Amino acid sequence: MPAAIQVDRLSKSYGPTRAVVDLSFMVEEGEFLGFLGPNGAGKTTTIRILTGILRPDGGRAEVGGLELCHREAIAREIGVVPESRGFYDWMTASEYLTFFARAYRHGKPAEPKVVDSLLEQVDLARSRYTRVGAFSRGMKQRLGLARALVNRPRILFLDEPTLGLDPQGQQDIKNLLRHLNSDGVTVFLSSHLLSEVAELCSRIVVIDRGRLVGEGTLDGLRQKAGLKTGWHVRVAGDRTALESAWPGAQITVLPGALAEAEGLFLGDRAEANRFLDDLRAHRVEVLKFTAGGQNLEEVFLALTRREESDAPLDPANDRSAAPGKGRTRQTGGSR
Amino acid sequence: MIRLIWAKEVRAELYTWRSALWLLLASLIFSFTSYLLLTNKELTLLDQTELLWLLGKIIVGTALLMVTIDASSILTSEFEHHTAESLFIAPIRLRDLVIGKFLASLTLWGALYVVAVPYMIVAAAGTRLAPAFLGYVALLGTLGVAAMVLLALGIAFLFRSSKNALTTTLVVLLGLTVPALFTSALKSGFVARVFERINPVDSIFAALDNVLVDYQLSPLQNGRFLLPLAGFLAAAFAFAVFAAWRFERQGIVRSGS
Repeated sequence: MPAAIQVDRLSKSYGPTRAVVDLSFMVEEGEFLGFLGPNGAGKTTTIRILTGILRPDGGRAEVGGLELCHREAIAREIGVVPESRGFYDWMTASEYLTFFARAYRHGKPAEPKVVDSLLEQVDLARSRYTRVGAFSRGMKQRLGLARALVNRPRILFLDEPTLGLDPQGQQDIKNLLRHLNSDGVTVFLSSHLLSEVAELCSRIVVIDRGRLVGEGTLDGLRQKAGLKTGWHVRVAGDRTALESAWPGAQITVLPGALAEAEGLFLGDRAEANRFLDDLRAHRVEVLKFTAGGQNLEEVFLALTRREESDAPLDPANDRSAAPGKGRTRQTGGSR
Repeated sequence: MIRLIWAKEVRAELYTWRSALWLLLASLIFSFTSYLLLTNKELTLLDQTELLWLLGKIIVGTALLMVTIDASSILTSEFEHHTAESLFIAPIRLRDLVIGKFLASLTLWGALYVVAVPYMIVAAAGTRLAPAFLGYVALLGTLGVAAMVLLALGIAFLFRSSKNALTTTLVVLLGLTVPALFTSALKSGFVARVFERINPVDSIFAALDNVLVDYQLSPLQNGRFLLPLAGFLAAAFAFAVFAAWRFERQGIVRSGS
């Protein structure tokens, strides 16, 4: 798969502060990448460098196969929802998008169609003649996204795209992003909403203090952070068998001799298989055994905490990384 | 692209009533000046050519002040309203942006000139100086305003803040204008004479005097005044180009997370 974004030892300092330090990663074409990091980690600086707003001090990067020095050519390939979202408040939504459609030289006959379709896409068609100054924060957010799509970009950079949106608005934007990604648009999403990143992104890059601290799928990152995958488990069977197969499980006794237990099992795939075998050996009926509890927040905190102390995470100190066949966390019986 | 930026700026000025306010203020100044020239006992004693010279100075001076103030914020407002990032993310060249904004500022000067035309025609009635008066105010005003706008844009590139850009540009304008208003007795020293030669505002006032009072109508006869003005314009252009180059090197957005 060719690279949509290739970053190689990128560096940027603001005076004595090193915002980005030897950052290297790659985003494949058509990928939905989550870009995470705590405040001040260098996310916005990285996005600004990749979108041609800032010049790096060192290293190189390619966006859409183009070196960063080709700012205008890159601008034609990308769409950006930047962190600082200013609008020309005196323009109407339609005028605002028309201005940018002209900047991308859509041609006068095509402009109204492009603008109308974008306003429809972000659900602002009814407000097309409303001045942007009268828009709510959420409406401005959607207008910013529409502007980012005005050139039908191949690569979309989003810096907190759902900030300030209500749950319905967030869902609409997420659906639109999924749709764009399924159409082959590479999405580079920087967000503090970890649930959003976990839900949308196929791969995640985590940076802290300008340095790469983790890169990969959520499972991969869990492993790197020394965390184990969570499995949602619900079992039923003889109470004694249940107790010996799943020690410590919170068991709910059902009418008759049956009992039920539900909880979270933490362990890798092999450990999960062994646990399943144990359950079956004890003739415990497995009602549910699904991968879940892949809490990105835990991964994020583990990765960035490790960087804070500048020492590897001690798995012994991590509550979810117990040795042996894995730990279970009960969420109580179902009744 | 230049046209797109120019149109946006002109529309922004109209929508925010900024231009309308400038034009209203200018017409009030011109009306008040004309009223004084016609009714004030001492001023009515002035020769009509002197009166034209005075009016010409007021028109160009007002335009220099208003357009300079306007140009100081035309670029920095993009940073202060956080619109610069979305603008530069689009394939808009910095050169086109600067030229578009420069032309928008000159458009304000054009509008001020149009407002001043009736006053100039009325004041020049009865003399054969009306075309020369209109022509030289247009020429000298355009050269002076263009230079000040370029200077203001250059300063705005350096500071990226309206307040700092406005203060600095106004200090420069005052530094050029105040000595031009000194009497000849105050300009007798060597340094004062050299400054008078190179000061563009002095050149504008002296050229108007040469045309309207001394009837030296040909541009060649005013070369010694036009040359310093052209030199100032060239220097302002070079400064704006340098500031834009430095701005692009530093990065369009200076700070980040």
